[in-house]
Amino acid sequence: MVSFVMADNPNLTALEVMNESRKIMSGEKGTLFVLLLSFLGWIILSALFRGLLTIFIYPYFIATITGFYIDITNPAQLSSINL
Amino acid sequence: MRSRAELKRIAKDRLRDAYWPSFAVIAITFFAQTVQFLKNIYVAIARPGMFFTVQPYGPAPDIALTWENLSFLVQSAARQFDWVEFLFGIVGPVLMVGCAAYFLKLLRGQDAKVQEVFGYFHLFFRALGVSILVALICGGVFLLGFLAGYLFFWTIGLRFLGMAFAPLIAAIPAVVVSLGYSMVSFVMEKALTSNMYTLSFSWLLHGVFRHG
Repeated sequence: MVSFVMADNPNLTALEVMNESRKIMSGEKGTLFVLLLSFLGWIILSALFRGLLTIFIYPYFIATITGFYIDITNPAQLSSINL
Repeated sequence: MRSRAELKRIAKDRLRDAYWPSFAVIAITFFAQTVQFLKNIYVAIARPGMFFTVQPYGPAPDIALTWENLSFLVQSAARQFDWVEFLFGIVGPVLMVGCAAYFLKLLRGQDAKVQEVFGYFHLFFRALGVSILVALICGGVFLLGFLAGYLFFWTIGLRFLGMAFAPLIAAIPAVVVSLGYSMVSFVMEKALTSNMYTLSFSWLLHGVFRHG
């Protein structure tokens, strides 16, 4: 989450960013691990096409991880979106 | 805490109207991969027969340690040096911060623009420092785990299994540590060596994504 923390808090120092990331992920590592695992189908599909699909899958992948970050830091920001 | 399905649904929904700008952000951020993608397209079109073939390494030449051979080796290494990957290792971390900022805005329903990806160059050294520190920490944990695993197999007399299984054992603590810094794993691609892929699940994931 370091990139997100840094984007959200540009004034933090490098070590503060890392500590903040560790704090945010405390107790959430398993959840993220399972979330990453849930992309296994896409990974296999991408591997079958020798990585040609990868670049097209990335936006979806990173958007999901971003959603996870927002959900564990400030879930209200996701709720405010009209779906 | 939302479920995985809900997070994915939100992601898909936000990308519905902004897929191509998001694609552009990804293509810029992971420019090394974009170059590789274009190379793959070229290979697929220009040399389709080469696409799925495996090119085995030839036998190692018997090279004596002479000045000519050393000079040849240095020149070969320089020719094969991947400048795009090198540049990506340097600029990638700060671009990833911009990419994170773009996706944060997108997911929060704010006005996200592609140029966001270039908006964090004032954090260049900080981003680079963080990525190097994370690589060193994850690398250190992996090495400790590897040594412990190797010593374990060595002490029970199964040293030959050590090299095969010690990396797998070492990957577990490295994965746990790297998940703490999770997103950095995408930034850190090949920052130190290509073997760093083995240091975390995310690197592994990224490695599989890239190289199949």
